[in-house]
Amino acid sequence: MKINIANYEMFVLDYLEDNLSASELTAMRAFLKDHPLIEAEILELKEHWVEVEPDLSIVFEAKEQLLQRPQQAKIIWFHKSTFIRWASAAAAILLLLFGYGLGYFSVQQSTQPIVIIKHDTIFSPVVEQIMVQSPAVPLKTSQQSLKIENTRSTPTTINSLQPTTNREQTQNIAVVDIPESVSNENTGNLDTLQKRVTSFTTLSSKPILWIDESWNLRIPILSAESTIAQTDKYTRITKLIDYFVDRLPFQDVSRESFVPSYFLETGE
Amino acid sequence: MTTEEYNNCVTIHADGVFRFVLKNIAQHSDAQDIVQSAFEKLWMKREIVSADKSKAYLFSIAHNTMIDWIRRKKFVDAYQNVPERGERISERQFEARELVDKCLAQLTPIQKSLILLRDYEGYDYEEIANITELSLSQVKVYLFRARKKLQDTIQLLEKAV
Repeated sequence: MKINIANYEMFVLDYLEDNLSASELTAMRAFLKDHPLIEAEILELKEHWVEVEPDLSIVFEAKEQLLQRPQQAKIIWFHKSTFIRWASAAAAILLLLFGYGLGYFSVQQSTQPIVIIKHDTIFSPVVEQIMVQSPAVPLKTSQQSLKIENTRSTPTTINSLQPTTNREQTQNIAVVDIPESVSNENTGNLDTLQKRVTSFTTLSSKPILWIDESWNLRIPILSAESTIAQTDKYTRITKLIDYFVDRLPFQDVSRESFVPSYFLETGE
Repeated sequence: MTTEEYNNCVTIHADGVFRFVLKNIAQHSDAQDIVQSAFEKLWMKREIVSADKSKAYLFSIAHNTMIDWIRRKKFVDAYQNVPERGERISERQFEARELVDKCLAQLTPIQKSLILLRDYEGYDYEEIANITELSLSQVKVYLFRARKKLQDTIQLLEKAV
């Protein structure tokens, strides 16, 4: 390391603050020995060190204008009949999503295919298992199950004939407002958005979600326990939304824009 | 960065950024605009800026906006033949704060920024280099020269008094 008249300024502050390495310190001392005027100048700087104190009387008075209001989630509980109406719409979309893979199957009045996400795994980085459950739906195809490889190469099973094992389970649907920026800038129209979400859902083998005709992102889940506290359910839904929004093909859209505005529930 | 983290950032750093900008440009309303614009940019980028980097990001935006502002101002002043502010040192007695302001006014915009980032905010040289997009060596050289100039100016003012 050679310190000379052309580069010594680079080392002065570290020299004064004792931050030079051993070799740099040796080089600096050698340089100062050869340049007594510069040494005097540096000593003078050290002796009369000037530092600027922050003027705490200066404050930014318009802070309130800079603050952003957190979007509040509103939770509305629906009656079972309302749920069935929504679930019927869900069933139609699910048919579209899985119809070609599973073949044709019909949905009877009192039964709806339900997407079940094992509650212990839904918030893990990769969802381990998804089941599309339609207890009383006759499947008009010899294919009884569909295996999809997920991104972590763990097989995800969608079993359309899996009987309901726990009648006390609670069916939930999270309904999430689509922000205007998504509908205006990213999608153009509902069909496009639905296609994008559908495409995302099927390609990534993640749990199903869809956009309804009122521009809501809808995430059906079935929690494994009917006794989960409502706040806990809500937390889970919120996390699930985070999980999806992270992976949605939207550009420049904050996940905070997707706030669950409805949370549908029906007990079995 | 969540909305809450952003709002915390406003609460904790708005004064500091404003102080930093105002001390640099000495124009209250323009300093407010620069701070407002810096926070707007931070909000827009909140998805990619984590909470722990938000302060540095904020100062970086404020610094760049301020430098642009100073360049524009210089251009307009030159065009309108307005003499630059703060270049003369009067011989009256200075209050301590005023003295510091007078001394700061003798520095170049970059030097001023570096001194304020170091002394006001306590950033280390590497952080200052990141914020100002200068090399580490440049930061050290400019800061050394700035300190030297501050010292010279203070001595000059003291003699004048």
